[in-house]
Amino acid sequence: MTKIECADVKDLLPEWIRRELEEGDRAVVSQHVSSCASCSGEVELLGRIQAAAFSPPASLASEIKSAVAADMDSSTGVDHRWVRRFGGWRLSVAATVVLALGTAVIWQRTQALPEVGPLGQEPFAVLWPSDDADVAGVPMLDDLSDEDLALLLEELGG
Amino acid sequence: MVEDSSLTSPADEELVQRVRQGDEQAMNVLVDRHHGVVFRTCAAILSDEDLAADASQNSFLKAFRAIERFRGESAFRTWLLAIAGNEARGLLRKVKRRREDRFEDLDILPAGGNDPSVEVTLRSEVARVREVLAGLPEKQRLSVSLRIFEGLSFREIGETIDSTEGSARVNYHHGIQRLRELLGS
Repeated sequence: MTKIECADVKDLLPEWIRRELEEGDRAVVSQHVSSCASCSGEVELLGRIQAAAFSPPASLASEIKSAVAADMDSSTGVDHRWVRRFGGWRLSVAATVVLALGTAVIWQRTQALPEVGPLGQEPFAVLWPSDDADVAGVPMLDDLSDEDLALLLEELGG
Repeated sequence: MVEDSSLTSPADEELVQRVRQGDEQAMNVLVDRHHGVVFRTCAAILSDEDLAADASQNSFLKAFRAIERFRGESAFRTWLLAIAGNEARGLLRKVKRRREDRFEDLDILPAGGNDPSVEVTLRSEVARVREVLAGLPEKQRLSVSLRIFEGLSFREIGETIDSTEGSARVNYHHGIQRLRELLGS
């Protein structure tokens, strides 16, 4: 074989020593190596390098798995399986909807008139909710119940 | 407990999809399948087995946390090895800084780290090869390690070390040439 063929063979030697070549290629490389001092020297060198490979500790895989599982249930309290299963954006949408509903309920409550009680115990604004000068002092009678109207008339000396 | 036999041989791409859906068993299969190559890649950079184990664990944690960002433009293994390389380099920088703070010379970490048996081990053939490998420039060291230990193609090695396929091939052959000179083969 020529020197160029040696270069081709040397490219294949890692697969050859790992026994990953197909049978045809393997036979060609084996024949070349057996008759080429340069390539057989390279095989010997690759074998020495391969023997020096670090081996992972036997417990490494299980340690990594434990760390991954712990990471999924991290201290944030968020179950990452749910986040991954339903997608982060879906949770974000759900949180936004809850926030919007909460805001709407609070707004509605602040807009609603409190229940009217006896005049002596309720703030003046109950009967005169508007500060507008045009209507100040004018009770909004339509909103009052019959009992409140009766109390108001009694208060006014009616 | 009965193992899900469908998980014994699915392709990485399918497992990645399952991981995205929170499938813990798929993560375990990927760990089983790739922890060796991840460990050896980290060890090739760090030349220390304890540090390589730490870097390997962090690499998987980071990969699974970032799994949504994996676009599938390269193989999962290549993407994972790129993460592992970054993780190991980061850890090496930290260790070097720590050692430098203690006024210790640390051009390369000795093979075996702080193992008390290191004196004995260093005399062995395996330790000698590791020591010479550790002295190669990083791209040559990774090209040789990934090609010989893992059988990665030059294209995959190029993607892992952020080089072209041709550059990975040149790095590999320069590394082998240097090892031949230093090991006297």
